[in-house]
Amino acid sequence: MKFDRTLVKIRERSFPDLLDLAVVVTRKRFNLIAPAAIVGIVPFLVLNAWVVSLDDLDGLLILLIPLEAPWATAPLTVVLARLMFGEKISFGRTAKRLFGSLPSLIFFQLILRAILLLMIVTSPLIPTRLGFMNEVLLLERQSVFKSFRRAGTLRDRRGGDLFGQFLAYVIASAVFIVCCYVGSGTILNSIFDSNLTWEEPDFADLTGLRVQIPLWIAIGFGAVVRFFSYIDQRIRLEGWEVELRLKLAGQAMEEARGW
Amino acid sequence: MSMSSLSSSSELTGLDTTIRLVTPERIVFLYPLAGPFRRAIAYLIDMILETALALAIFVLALILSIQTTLGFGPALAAYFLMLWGYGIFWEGLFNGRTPGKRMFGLRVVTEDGLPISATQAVIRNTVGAVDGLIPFCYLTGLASMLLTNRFQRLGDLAAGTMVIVEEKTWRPRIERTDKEPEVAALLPWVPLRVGAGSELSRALADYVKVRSRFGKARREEMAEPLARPIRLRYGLPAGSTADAVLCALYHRAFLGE
Repeated sequence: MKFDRTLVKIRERSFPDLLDLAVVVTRKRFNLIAPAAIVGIVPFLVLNAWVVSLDDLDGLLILLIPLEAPWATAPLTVVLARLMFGEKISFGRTAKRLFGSLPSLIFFQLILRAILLLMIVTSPLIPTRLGFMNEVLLLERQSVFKSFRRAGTLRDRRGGDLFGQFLAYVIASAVFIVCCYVGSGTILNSIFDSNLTWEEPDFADLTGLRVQIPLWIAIGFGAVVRFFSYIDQRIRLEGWEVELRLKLAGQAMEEARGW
Repeated sequence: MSMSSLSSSSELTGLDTTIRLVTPERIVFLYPLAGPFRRAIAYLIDMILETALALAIFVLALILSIQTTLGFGPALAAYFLMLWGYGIFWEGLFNGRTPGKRMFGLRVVTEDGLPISATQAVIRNTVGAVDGLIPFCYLTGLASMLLTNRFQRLGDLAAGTMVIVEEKTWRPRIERTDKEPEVAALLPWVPLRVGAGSELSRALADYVKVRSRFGKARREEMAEPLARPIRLRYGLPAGSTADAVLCALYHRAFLGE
């Protein structure tokens, strides 16, 4: 692996720094990240709209969205990994990678995830034990049992930190969704009704586009953050930053000797 | 000091949250930028402080105006001044830092990396009101930060400022590696005074700090690219392990014994 040729600078980062880095990467590679996110998210957005259109099934979204999130962000994860290490990105390669990991994805991200979610008490295991599962399944492609162990190893020594980061991201996402709902409402009111008053939300708004779109933006951006958190964890566990620093210092010494 | 050019560091070393400023003397400064997330946390602290202070001043002004003909007037005026003057006061007088920013190591500087003036503090905070809760629930500020290279909200764009992270000075803790027999055996080969530059010193210190996390094979893999030229420079035995070579050089560079 050539650490001096990666998409982002290799160094250990704090969580706020990872969030800011995700913004920088999304902005600079928007032409590749946005289509990958849209391809994954739109089918689920349509599915949810259909579910909501059925009578009395609005509440099902609470269960559906955590189940859908890893599937919707799977193409984005593959594209980010290819971007990170300078590999060629194409629809065919991405689809091949996704289909190659399909059996493990079904086992972990559908069956196991659904069981953990339905049992409620076990649902905190999803962000802890299965936190980096998409990355492990799609990028490291190991056997089912090795994948489970690997996802656990990746959280070594920082399990608490990573769970705290997950909670912080959920809170930040909730604030973002509220801001988008209120802000977009005010913008629409100012354009069509010529007033700047805030409207009072009701339960039906939760299934409307003004909540669903920011929700999926938060999920998509969360996948970018999670990917860089996975990279950061590997930098820490495998010493990438130090390895790169030693390599550069070695190169400088070799060059000085050459003179 | 005026800056001649500005470019993102990304073109040289991969994307990062830093901005690269070059002086006319071609001295390069790297400033870590504070993005929306870091700033949001500092903003939250400031908002809590600001509200508490505004309420305290409001109540105080109200008490002082009891039994006078002034009524609510002074209290409302004090409240208004507090809400609008908080950011201007702290950033104008304390070199671009509010208490929230100080707590999280952030500072407002000009786009050239210089300290902000009082005028800039006023512009930044008054124009910046559009970025806030009213009327568009932070959407304008957020959109502006996401679309600009320096994470600038509208207030920053109007005043020509940006927010940076002030990183703490790197100060390594000295580790004793000379107790390990393999390292002790190599020390006689290495001169007492080693002129390690800043990059080499940093590489050695970082390696010694984290080496205990890795197994022997991984240590060798990591250390070999630097150990190779060190062996040649100091004539160290070819069979010496890369890990021991770096530890011996670290001992001489940092302890000089």
